[in-house]
Amino acid sequence: MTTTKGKGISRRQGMKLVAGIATTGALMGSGIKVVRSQPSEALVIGGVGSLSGGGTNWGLAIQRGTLMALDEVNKAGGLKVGEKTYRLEHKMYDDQYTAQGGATAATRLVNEDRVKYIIGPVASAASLAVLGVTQPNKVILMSGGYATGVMVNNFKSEYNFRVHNTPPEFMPAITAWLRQTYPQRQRIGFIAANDATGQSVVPQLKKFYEEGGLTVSYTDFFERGTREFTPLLRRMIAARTDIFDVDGNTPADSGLMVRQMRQAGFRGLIIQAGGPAVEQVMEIAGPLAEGFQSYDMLNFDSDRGKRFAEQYRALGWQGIMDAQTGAFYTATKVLMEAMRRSGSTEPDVLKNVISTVDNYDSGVYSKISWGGQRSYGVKHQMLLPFYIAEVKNRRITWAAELFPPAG
Amino acid sequence: MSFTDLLTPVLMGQVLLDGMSISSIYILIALGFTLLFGIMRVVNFAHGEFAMLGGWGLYYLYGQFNVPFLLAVPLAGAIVAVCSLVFEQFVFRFFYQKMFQSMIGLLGLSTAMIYTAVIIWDAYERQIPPAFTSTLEFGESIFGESLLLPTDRVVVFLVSMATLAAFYFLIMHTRMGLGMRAAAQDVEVAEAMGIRTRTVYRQAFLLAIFMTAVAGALYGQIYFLSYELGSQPLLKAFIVVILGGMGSIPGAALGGVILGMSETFLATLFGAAVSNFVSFGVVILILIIRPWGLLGKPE
Repeated sequence: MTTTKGKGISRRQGMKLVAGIATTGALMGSGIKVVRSQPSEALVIGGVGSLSGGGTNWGLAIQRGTLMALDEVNKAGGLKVGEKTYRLEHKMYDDQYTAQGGATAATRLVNEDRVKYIIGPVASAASLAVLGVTQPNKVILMSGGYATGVMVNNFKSEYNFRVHNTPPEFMPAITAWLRQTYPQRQRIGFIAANDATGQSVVPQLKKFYEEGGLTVSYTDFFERGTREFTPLLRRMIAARTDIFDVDGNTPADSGLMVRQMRQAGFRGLIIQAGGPAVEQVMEIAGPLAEGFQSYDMLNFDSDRGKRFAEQYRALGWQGIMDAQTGAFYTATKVLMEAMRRSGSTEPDVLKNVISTVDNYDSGVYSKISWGGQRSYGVKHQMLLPFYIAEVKNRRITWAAELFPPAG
Repeated sequence: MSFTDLLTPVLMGQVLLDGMSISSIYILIALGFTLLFGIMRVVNFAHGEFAMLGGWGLYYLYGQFNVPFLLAVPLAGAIVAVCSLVFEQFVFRFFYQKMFQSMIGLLGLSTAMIYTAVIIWDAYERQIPPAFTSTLEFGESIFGESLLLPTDRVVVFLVSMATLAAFYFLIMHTRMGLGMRAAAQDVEVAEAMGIRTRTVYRQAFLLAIFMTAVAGALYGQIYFLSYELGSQPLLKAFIVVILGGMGSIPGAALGGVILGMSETFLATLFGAAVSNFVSFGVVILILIIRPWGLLGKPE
């Protein structure tokens, strides 16, 4: 998570705004209409994501990422596919961060709105529910979700694509980076919630770290709702752990873990191979977040990151921008690129073209590619470059840029 | 890691400190709960939400308006308590001396308060700025290594002990406390003796919500603030109060110490699963042997 801090409007901008309003008012008053040429035929891109409840920031990432991509194309005169040019529209429904909400949203989009493409959701449960609607109706789905079932399913992921990295994509590179950057740190520990998510995450992490040459010194599970992690963290310290991975725990829990681990006297490295939620961790852990490192999806210090943040703000959105916004922006652009290249808007054509949009520069990422054949048996996994963010002097800095393994 | 790796003097000393710290939090959050039950026979399932309001009070007073911390904490408690008189007037008073109805009625109030909080403050977690960030280190000459004690936990411990002592004094040694005890024993006889039970109930309600809001303010600061801040305090308060004996102040203190210490020692020595299993197992066992709790009185 990265903040894009809002800036106050400057005097010059204020003058421009007043002049703009005055001119528009004058033109309206005189009966002159300002008409921008737009294609008449609309192409609707559907969206499903959490627009209420705990996953709202992820839902907003889907909505805003998609809108940014559509806005770009519409401003350039529309999307040219073969002989036709389309005006792009977006229709999105709230999944309320539940499987039921996801299924209902997808059903409305497919059966009432007749959309042929859906971007989102992020949550695994909702993604799996949406998949159950899109596949039988031959609708392209470009979603998120860490669950393996999103990619490995009875449908062989015929019409669905995953558009952000998951542990099989980022863990090998993170492990190698840890080994190279901190060769003296060998023993890693992590704790996870005692539920289906946690119990699937821990063996995965253990496998990746051990394959990468690290020793897993401690793992344990805690009950959801736990606020006091100190006893478990003391056990972890007693197990001579020198890297603590906060893994995929919720942002608030991650922040508490970081704070309590430091208060317990841990002087080793604290990382988060998951998330990303650097800003929330800083919010909860305060000064004790110093030195915390995390997987991150965007680098806002880079030129591309800065441009993307400006583009985001230009649409009137202030405050926190979820780092996943870039992934969904990229997914929407890849979908449109596949339409351009194939000259078709038909899902049956696009399902074979999307994963050929390889080595593609989305603007925010210089090179995205497709993989997944080796891990999931289908090349429908988008591979995005990613970053290691580090908290230094209470600011987010970027320590490294890494790439998922090909294949 | 073997079990004996954990049985070092320094780790045991540290666990003892952790246990005391957690016990004091549990005692603080249980006091308001046990008072409402002890005097008015109300099972306040909205207890956690008043704690949440205390957290928001501290967030604004200390975090936003820079009121000095030691003033902001009681002020947050007082503001929440006074404002909560609205709930007393329109909700709580209808459930006095109606234990089972109060459970369902106040569960409804709890849900309404939670979702009102989501509408007002959204679902994102926030941090109340820490008032104390240092960590005390001591005992190196005894244990060979320093014991660590974060100062924010020391503050919670001190506030908790001071509140417990003041509360005990008020109930046992003041005229107001005498009225409360009389109303708790027999409402009709107390009224016949000239005690205005409506006033006593209102005083007890104010006091209970004040302590709950203070507990919530400190709880929100050492953990984090969110609309669901109250769920854990409610659960812990319920266990502590049932364990110690509904309505008993020394019982709340004893229950808090037993729960806090057992959770900390068991989780550190055996892990979270064993800790939960044994902690709740002990609670069940005690309630089988003494259904009225350790220091409660059989009805």
